[in-house]
Amino acid sequence: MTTTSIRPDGRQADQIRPLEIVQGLLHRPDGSAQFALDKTSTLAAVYGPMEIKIRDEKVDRATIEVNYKPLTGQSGVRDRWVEFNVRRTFEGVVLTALHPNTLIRIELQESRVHGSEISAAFNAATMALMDAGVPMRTIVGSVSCAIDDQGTLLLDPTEHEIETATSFHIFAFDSEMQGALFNDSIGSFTPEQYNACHEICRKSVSKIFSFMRTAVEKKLLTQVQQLQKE
Amino acid sequence: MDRRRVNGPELSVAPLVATVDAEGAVNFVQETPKQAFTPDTKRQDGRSAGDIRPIYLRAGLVNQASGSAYFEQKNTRVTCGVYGPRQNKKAQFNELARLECEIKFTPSSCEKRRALHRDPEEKELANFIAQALSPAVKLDRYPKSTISVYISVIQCDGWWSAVAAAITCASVALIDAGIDMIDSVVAASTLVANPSTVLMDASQSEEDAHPHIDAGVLLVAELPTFKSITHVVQMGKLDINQTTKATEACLEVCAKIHGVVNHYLRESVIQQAEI
Amino acid sequence: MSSSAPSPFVLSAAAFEKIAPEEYYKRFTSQKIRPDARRFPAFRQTSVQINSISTAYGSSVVRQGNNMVICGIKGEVAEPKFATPKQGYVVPNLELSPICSADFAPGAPSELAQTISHRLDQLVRTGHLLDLEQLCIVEGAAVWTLYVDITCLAFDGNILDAALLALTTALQNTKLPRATFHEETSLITVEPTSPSTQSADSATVALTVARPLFAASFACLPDGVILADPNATEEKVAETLVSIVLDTSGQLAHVWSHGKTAVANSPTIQACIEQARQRVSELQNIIQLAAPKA
Repeated sequence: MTTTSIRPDGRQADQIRPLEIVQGLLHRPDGSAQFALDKTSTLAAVYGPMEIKIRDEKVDRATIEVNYKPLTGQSGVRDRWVEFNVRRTFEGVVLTALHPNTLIRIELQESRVHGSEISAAFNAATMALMDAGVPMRTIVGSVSCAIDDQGTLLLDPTEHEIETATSFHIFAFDSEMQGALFNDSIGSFTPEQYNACHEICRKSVSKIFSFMRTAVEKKLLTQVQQLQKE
Repeated sequence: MDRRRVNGPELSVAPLVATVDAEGAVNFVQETPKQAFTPDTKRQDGRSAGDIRPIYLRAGLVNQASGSAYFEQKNTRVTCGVYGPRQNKKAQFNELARLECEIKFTPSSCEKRRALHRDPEEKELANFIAQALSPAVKLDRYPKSTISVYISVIQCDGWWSAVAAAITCASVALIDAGIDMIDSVVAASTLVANPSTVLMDASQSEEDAHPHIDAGVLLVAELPTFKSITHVVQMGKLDINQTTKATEACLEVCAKIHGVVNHYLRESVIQQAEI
Repeated sequence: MSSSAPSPFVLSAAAFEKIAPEEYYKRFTSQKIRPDARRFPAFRQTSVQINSISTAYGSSVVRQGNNMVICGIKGEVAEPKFATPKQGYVVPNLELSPICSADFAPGAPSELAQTISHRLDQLVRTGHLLDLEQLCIVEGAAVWTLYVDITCLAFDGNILDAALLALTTALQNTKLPRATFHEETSLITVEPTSPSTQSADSATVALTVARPLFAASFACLPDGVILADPNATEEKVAETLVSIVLDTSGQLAHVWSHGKTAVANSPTIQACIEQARQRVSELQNIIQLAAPKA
């Protein structure tokens, strides 16, 4: 495994793309965030806890609904699959027992597509939930990686790198970073390669978490400054 | 383009069937040549005109359902699941239960691939299966509720025989679900091929060989104990004498099918008692 | 005068299961057994029936415990994509019909059906289940489209395993009619095949599945219990669900874990992969038993 090779966009094999987080950019939802991995970016909006249809009501906890919209065209089965996984993950993370008989709706919209969109969606959802002040047990960070035909691990792959890869792995971790909350790997790979992917993603998710922390700190700081001015 | 399913290419067509001879000439395969049936000629599968294919029946295949049944006549295979009585989704009060019926031919059940979504033909069929069944069900025993009958045709060898099988199968599933009924419902179908021949339980190749233009089909659903008919479907060209003759033939077969159903139900009760 | 003492409150097992499913399961798992009398690593009895539907090019019926799925394959002719002029299409769809469980309403496919359909589609394409170039009739002009329609008739959890087994075995036993392209008319015709002469005739071409894939799924309960092949109730009480897809050489094709607790790459996943390996060899035996006798 070589980690020194340079990728077409000038990155090292184990380097993630430049991150960008904007919180609270939408006014109508209760919380919103945009999470960008360079040219990949996803917009998330959170509504709730709010009123729910009697049909979907759960007496002991809040119901979580996730809607994922692709950049172009109508949504399809792939988007249902993303929704299923995001919902399953956040059902275990959001403290739903604090808001019984309510609905928490997470809207995800791809705004730029250049590989690893699902990881961006997980991260955007976390930031938007935080922005909405929805209580959570932990925060969720996600990183993807691919293995190319040479057996090289490519962290945070671009669209082209995924297309030519032999396997593609998505991991989502909680802040303890012990094991993955969510994992989806597909292609052809050995258990050893799987472990290597897990390790590299686990290590680099800490970068995402620290970036999330900085973003929240910055946002709070500006809010405090504004209050002081007033 | 169906956004709730995995989609293939925009356009695909069923292949044309043809034989190519040594000179490269293409001969499209013709439909089975028409054959005049007389009461003594044997049919393709060795039956005589009044015979039906052997029946295999089983109840209670789907453990999640309130009741279920599987009905097989050679290559015609039908399965049915009954759910309910369960709460009516609409808040409106109704003294009678609603008998809801759905039928789906699985995509690979027929010669040509069928669409995954329910087509109008299936909706129409579902309506009249519900009409054939509801006189037997004591709907007044279940106010405010819905009884759902879901039928899936796994393989269809003869359209009308599959529909008749679906009705009989659904009635067994209703019995399996323990729904109060006044009687079981059995159905039989027939193809009237030429002035004199009544082909019971026609297979697909027989249906193909006798298009509606010069033949007729008749399906009868009956409450066998009450000797009353709950539904009749008639299509094609039939005069009144042929219709009468075909109805009588169907009722005769209904009695036979009722024998099979009864025998099965009795055996299964005895078996359960032994356990 | 003896006043009858109030009868002690007794809860039936069925009611207990409905009211507190987690607690109900804990009573069993603490005794190292499951309510259906299976041990933790035991899969439900599985059987495969090959090519029982004569109207399909290939078909299989899979029973796994109380699960029953039917997979039928139909072929149609279509134009290939410009970028891949030799590749045909495989279009897998899972229908969770309302017959199979009260959880599925009639009408549009449920979220679960769509999720699994997408999964199967990805396994065929990204997982390289079969070489799509064998579906080519005329390069750049005509290819086969195989519609793989999987219908669930009885549902009791772990549908991915059953659906993938049905898909793999049906494709392995698919025979395409031999297709001819007529240049002067640019028509595609196929040789007639009658169901009775289907075995070993020159009018059909058998499909080869380069990389048969098999799934094994597990439910992780609290306190480290791993249940193999969870049924519908076990799926509901599970903290996390893990699915492993392997090929016959032991190479991984897919790992999917989702749920409340972090498990990936922990000893749990390793244990699941190990159990999945055993399951694959078990399934191969089952398939061999089902194979039509030559």
